[in-house]
Amino acid sequence: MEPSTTKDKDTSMEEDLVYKNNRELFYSFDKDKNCYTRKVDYQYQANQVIIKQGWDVLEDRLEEIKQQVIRGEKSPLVYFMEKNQMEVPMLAGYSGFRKWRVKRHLNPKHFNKLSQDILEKYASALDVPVSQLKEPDFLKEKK
Amino acid sequence: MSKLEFDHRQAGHCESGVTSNLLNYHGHQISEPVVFGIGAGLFFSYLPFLKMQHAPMTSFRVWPGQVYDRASKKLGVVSKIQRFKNEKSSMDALDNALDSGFPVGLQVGTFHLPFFPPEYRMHYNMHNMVVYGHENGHYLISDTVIEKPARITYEDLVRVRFAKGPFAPQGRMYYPLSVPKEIDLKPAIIAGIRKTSYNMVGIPFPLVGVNGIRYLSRQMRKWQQKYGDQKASYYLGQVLRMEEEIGTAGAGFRFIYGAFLNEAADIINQPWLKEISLEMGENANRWRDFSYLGSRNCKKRAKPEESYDFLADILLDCAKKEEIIFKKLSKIR
Repeated sequence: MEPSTTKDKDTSMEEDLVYKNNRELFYSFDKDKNCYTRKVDYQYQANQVIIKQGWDVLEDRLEEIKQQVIRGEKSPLVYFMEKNQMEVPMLAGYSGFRKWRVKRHLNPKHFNKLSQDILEKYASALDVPVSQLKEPDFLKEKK
Repeated sequence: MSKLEFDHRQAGHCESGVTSNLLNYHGHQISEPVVFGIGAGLFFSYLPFLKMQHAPMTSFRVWPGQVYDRASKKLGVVSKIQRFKNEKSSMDALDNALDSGFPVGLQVGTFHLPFFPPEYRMHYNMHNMVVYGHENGHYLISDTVIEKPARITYEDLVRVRFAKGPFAPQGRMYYPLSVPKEIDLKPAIIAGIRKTSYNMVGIPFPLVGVNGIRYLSRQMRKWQQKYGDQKASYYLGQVLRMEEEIGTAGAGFRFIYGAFLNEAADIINQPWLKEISLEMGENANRWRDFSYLGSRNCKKRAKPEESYDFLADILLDCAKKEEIIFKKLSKIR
């Protein structure tokens, strides 16, 4: 049962594939020949659609949060937390702060008073420079 | 500095692929599907009270770690399995194992894996990969999802081994210490099939096994009314992502399990398993239909008759097929 690289209907659909970074190994069952086959290929078209759906939803949510940050309802920490697909317990884990403290810092009122030390911890947990965390580019543009 | 002669072979599912590749290193050619079957990896559970990426959790497999644990135990392999609190000691233990000539399996979080393409970057903490050497501050990685062997720095490796969040790996590492010269696959295969049959049709709980598939089917019919179009479509997408995305080898492990039954029939010389493997193949193709039509639904291209009710009916069909299959399999001796 060697992996074959023959093209089948999965890969030659009407649209181009979105994700072509890595090929994976897939098993399938050939109904006509009653046998199992393996092949190495990109995710098939139909599945790329639902993968993309997941990322699109994430992007929409991020855009919404961006607007809330611009309006001053939420701190930039919320934006970068969402950008890293994290929620409070996970950010607490990566930053080393207690959950209640992280929750407090989501509020701009408390966030704006944070010391450099604390900001640095968040910045390294979220892979973002401290300057960005304090004042993201999208806030500067608005001014 | 050490680099072991390790064969990088891609696999459909990370954990059984890792297990199969590790056994291969120790001189036993046991295919990925057979490892998956012996490890009793196939399962179904729908847990609406647990949310993953803001949607109910659906799973097509057993708890992470179980496939390796079960398969190695049933095959008489003596393993070393460790978890750590301290980052440095976890890396020292890894170095020691590598320097003594053992490739090591690691449980890691995928979000910070530098060699993963961006679309794979999710907080998924149950991923498995093999480290087979280190040189110049880099570790050599064989990840069954990725086409080629990869490398990772010390710092990045610490980060993924101590990923935070649900199912945190806590530096878990595992490797076979000693592997018997002769392995008798027969009892292991039979035990694996019995375990999976029990999991699928024997547990009297509504959210797991074939009951779980039926439960999901019932819930799905209500989604549109209850949550509105957008959220329902996202929930459906999440089920499909768990079914088809990275590391399920397609159709929520049903293809790989069918391939296992097909191979097992020859190994333990019970030809009736071949027939069941064909039934499993049909069942897997049915799951594939479900994901095809489901993705059309997510894309808003579905015809009116392909609504949630229609999809729920496919699930019922799958549940029925799997109930028949596993009731037959549970009688294996």
